[in-house]
Amino acid sequence: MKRLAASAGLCLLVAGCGAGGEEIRVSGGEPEDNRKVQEILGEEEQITSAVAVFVKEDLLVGVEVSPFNRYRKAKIEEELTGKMEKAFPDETVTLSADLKIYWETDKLEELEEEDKLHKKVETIKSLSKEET
Amino acid sequence: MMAAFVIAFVVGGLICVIGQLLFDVAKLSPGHTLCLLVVSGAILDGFGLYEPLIDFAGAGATIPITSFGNSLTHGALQEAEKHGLVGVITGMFEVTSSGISAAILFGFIASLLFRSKGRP
Amino acid sequence: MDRQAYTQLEQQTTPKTPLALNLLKAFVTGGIICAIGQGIMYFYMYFFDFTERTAGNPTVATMIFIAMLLTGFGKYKRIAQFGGAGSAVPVTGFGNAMISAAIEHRTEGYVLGVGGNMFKLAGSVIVFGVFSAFVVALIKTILVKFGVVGW
Repeated sequence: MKRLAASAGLCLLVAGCGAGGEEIRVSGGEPEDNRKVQEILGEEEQITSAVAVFVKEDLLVGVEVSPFNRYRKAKIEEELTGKMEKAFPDETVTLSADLKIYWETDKLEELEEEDKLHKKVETIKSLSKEET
Repeated sequence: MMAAFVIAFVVGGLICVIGQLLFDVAKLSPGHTLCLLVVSGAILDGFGLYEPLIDFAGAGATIPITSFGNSLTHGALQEAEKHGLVGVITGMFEVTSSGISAAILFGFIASLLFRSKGRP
Repeated sequence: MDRQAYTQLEQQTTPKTPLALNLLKAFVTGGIICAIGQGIMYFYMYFFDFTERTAGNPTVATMIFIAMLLTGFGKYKRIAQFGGAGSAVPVTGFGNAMISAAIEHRTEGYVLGVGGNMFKLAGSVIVFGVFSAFVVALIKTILVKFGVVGW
């Protein structure tokens, strides 16, 4: 409960500072990179919230698309992946609008141990590639 | 999150309303209605329209029987993309299998567990 | 009695059900079933490694399992009486058709009764589903081959 309240508070804080009132959380990267991600995702109006985590060479992004843009989910994913790849050519970008990926990426922030983190990243990557 | 439930409710409900219209207005039997819905699901996927609907409505689009036609076509098209024309036949049940296998399995289990309570 | 007279008589004797009420009932019943499905989908996504895309399969299987219990205890018939198409159109209706046929024909034996009658209504759905999927996929594949449309 405490953690929930804390994360809710953090969300509010970030949302308050972020552009457009969106919830965007970025962690694990250089401050400059974090800001860059914030900016790119902040411009998107179809997105209600997003979580982005840098893990070594990987950039994992989970976004939540607003309900009435969800039918264009696949297209939004594609566009954003393109933008992210352009902004971070050195990172392997994994971006998804899937709620599962969003949840899992969210959990990444809390993980400390190296090998667990690595395992989780691999799971997220394979999940995002899976089809029907 | 709540929005997803509301959208699933509305979209799923609307598909059922179409079914009820086919029952009441077009005077089709349940069998005909279900077949028609499955066929229209398959055709919608041919135009690439059913996947966006699933993205939009979640279970509101996967639970109605229309999704059965969609996943049959989807599996066929996925295989066709990889292996050409032969894939159309081999890929058909690639995606759908869970619905049919579950129905067969649970149907058989039900026949072991339950007795018929007289003629309906 | 010839055919025409019969249909006339049938129309007179069958009670007229108000269309709007039926539609509303179907909407509510179907909507509730789909909302329950959405809940099950979130359950699979939260506790197991399924994404929005893949969670549909276990959800359908679970819904059919629920349909089995409801059919077996004779509750699905009541839902069907209230909901009409609202209970027939979701996969639970498909499951109910197969399961009730299996239960009912058990007395005729497992091979000929259960195995043979299970697909009585469901079979036509599968046949037309497969055939239409075949036609649609064939047309699309050919169109793609000729470069008319893309995947």
